[in-house]
Amino acid sequence: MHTTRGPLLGVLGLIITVLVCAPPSPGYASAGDITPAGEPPATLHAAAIDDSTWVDHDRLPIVQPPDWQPNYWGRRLHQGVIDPISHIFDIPDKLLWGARIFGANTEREAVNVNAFDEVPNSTWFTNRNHALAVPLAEMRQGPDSIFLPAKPWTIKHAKVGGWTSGFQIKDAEGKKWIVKLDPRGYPQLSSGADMVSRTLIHAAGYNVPHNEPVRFRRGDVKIDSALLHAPNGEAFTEANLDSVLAQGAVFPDSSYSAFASLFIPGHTLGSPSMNRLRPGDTNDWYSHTNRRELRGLYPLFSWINNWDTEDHQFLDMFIETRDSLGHVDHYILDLGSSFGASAIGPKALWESYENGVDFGWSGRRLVSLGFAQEPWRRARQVTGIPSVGNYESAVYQPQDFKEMIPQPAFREATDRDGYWGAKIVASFSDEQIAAAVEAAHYEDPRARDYLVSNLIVRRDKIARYWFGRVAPLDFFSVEDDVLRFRDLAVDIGLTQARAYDVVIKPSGGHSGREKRIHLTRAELPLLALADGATHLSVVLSIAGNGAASTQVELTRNGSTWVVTEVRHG
Amino acid sequence: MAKGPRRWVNATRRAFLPLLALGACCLFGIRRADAGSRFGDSTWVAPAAMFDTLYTANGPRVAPRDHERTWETVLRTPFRVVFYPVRLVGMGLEAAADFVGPRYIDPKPKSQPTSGPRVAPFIEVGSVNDISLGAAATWVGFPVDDGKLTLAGSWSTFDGRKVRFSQAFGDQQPVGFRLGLDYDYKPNRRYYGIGNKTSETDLSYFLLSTTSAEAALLFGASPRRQVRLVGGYSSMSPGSGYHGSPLLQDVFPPSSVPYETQATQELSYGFTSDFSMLDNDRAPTHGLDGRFDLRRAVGMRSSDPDYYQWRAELRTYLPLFAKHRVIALRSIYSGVRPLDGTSTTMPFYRLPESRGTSHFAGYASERYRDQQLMLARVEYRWPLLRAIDVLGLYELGEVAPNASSFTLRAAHVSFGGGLRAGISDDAALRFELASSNEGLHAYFGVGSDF
Repeated sequence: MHTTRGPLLGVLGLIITVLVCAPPSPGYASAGDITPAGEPPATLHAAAIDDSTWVDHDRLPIVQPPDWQPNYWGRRLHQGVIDPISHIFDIPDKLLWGARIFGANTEREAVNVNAFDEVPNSTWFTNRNHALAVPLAEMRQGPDSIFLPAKPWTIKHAKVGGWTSGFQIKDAEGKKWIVKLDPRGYPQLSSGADMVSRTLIHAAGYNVPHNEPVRFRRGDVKIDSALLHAPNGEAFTEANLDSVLAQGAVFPDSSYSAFASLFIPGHTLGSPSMNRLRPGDTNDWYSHTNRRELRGLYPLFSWINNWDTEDHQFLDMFIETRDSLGHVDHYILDLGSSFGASAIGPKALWESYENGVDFGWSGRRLVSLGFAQEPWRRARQVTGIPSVGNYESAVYQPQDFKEMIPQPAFREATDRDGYWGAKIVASFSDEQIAAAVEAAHYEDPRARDYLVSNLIVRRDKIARYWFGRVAPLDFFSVEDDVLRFRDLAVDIGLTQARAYDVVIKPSGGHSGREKRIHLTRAELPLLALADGATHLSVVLSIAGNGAASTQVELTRNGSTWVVTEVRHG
Repeated sequence: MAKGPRRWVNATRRAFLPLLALGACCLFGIRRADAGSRFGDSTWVAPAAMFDTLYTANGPRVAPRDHERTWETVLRTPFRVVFYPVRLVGMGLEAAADFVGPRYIDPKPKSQPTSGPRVAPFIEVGSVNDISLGAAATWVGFPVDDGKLTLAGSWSTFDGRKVRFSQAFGDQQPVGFRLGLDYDYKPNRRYYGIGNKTSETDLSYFLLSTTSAEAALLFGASPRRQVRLVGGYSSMSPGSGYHGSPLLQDVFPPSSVPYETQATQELSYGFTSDFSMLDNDRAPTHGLDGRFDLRRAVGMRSSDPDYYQWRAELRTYLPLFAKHRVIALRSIYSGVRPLDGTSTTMPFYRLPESRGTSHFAGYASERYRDQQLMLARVEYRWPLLRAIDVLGLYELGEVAPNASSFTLRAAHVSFGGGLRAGISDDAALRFELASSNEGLHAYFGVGSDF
């Protein structure tokens, strides 16, 4: 029988061969070790690349890039509808997925991680709480020292964009702020959520603006005369102000509940796009979807229930340092839709459980004639606490958190990124969480207790989930020829002390055979294992546990050993 | 730099790393790792290397510039080329969203509801290629504070013309008054004959021009729970149609089409009412909704018939084990009855017909008409996405000259499915695809539909 399948199978075989034999992604590479296909020769970067650095030097002076940001509605349509549909029909994605069955390494790991599987400090991120616990006193006051807009306030502009009511003001000291009112009937809902989540996200390592919960009265606000008498259509009148205030939440003493956001220093360039580098920013080297700190935001946002993660919730600022040169700093904005809050009131019950347009759940509902049980229908989210809104932790599953608009960086995230983010979440102690919640100064005492207890439960769920996928063996160091490490799950009390299986592969010098050791403590004596080798490759896994192992590379330096590389998962 | 020396440099650098870190710790007063501190404690301090955070003028980057892997580019390029036209469509949609969003969706600065006229575009879709465009003006507070004036006009691609005027006094007050004027000119109305057994192949077209005026005294602030005493005038004038073929006069002999070319003018009076007990007006899950209309029409000329006209509609909503799964039932009984018994022939264009809110699913619009019409529908609704529900429907529809002529066997059966979105408390957007013995028919409707 005549058939045309031969050439087709040949092509398919060729594709699979290419995928199986393909080199690992640059994210795995140590600068001196591998030059991945497609990368310029290492010699071109010799002076500029060092994978052992703890600082990614992306503050080299540059000329101010042009203002640019993705268009809001087009971007929403793209990320929310077009992108998910195109991924459904993405044939190469399916081929890559199929190739993984044959052992090909097709996942793209985050690029900007150092040899120790950590994110070096940069204009995007600074290692904070998981490296050095933020003191409780600092957590209690929020990311910065308390600094409120001085009254009286002069309204300079109506608030443009966004769903919250508010206005732009200049305070009595001439500083510019945006004032956003809490939704009517819910004092401290958004302002409290913003304060707590900003404190946590900042302590996690990200840049956030200076926001302050404020309360004010009608008499504290006046409208700038130029705005009052602006040409028709642009004027903001007393009636407009009354309408704006009518949308806002009021305390029992008739003062309004809001938060004020200080204009961030520097020149506003606009929001970054997750799908392209900032034009003109020559320090912006890594695709934003391939940045570990953006991929690793998923467990953090899942923790604080911040479902508004679209591009426009990030902001790039140009900071001039000298001679019209400067660098770009990257901020996370608008965390007021965290926990049980949304811009217009308590979160709808499906929010954070489904995307705004959720093809997966819509399909399941369609096929099941509505009998598919969405988790949010059985989650008891309604707290009855106006300043908390709809938030819970009992039904919550860390991996099921969904953003309003799918975040491209989260789609690209691997288990290693998830583990990294979960490690940061797990680094917060109960006392730190309580201190962060205290920063919001909730008037309703139920709000503080409810948030603290639920954040703790969620934190533990996140740690349990990700530490179950990737062995939480971390912070390796060598002391007295003993490799010491921390089992993070043991440290935070998720599990009892446990045993570890270790495979040691010596190399270099008079290297011996591979050794397998069973450890009962988080310590590995190296002296007896080295057998004259100059390099040790150590693979650690948790005995009787399916979590992906951790690989540690050690190099002898004179009489001692030095950890040169760590890879989780 | 060659691979060997570079490795050596890196190894040396790493060897000095702890020393550098220690120096940094001392410089910045950072706490040393405490053997007793545990990860997750409020006093946790990681190994000192993580604090080597000094920025230097020519410091290194952590990794080379990032770009797509070459083999992945090779793999994806053919698909990118093939699907580029689709991508262009997507880009076009995004550009459209960028145009529409800031103008019509973005929240604007809040302002008090202001009185004064407002004009907005007015669009109606009759069929895929019959779209009406026009303008609508509303004036809240005219001529008194609780007054509301509405004026709308449109012209369709098939020369359909509509003008609507209404003036309300005491809008949303316990007692109010409303005056309405309508003009509707449509040159391609459908006619299949009168009765329940007309043939699909007898489709023909005619012109109908309608002018009506109605005054109503309203009792009840909510339009969903209101009784209205109404009085009005109606003039209907049939004619030779266009934008459709064949024409009515070419298919049916004059004797079979009562009042084929004869206009009628009526005065009418009666009452209409709405009684709604629903948990949610926009997307009801349980409750009852009744709508009743009873009028007496008096011909203005001797040739114009006198008759009763009625329409009763009952909607029932029952949750199926959960609020989001709803069984919705709807029944309609409408008719006309000449005052002197059934001997008087009614104008064919004043008969109840399967059109608009009384359309038969699975059949063409205006497919059936007779002196009485009954419709029974059951829908199962379940959520698809937020305000959009999916629905499955089963329907029986029938027309007859009198009540005793209705039989279950003669009913027109259809079943199908569709989507429904409640867009306001008194309007829904529906798309249906239903099957009957006359094939598949789609229906798209916006308004105060089921």
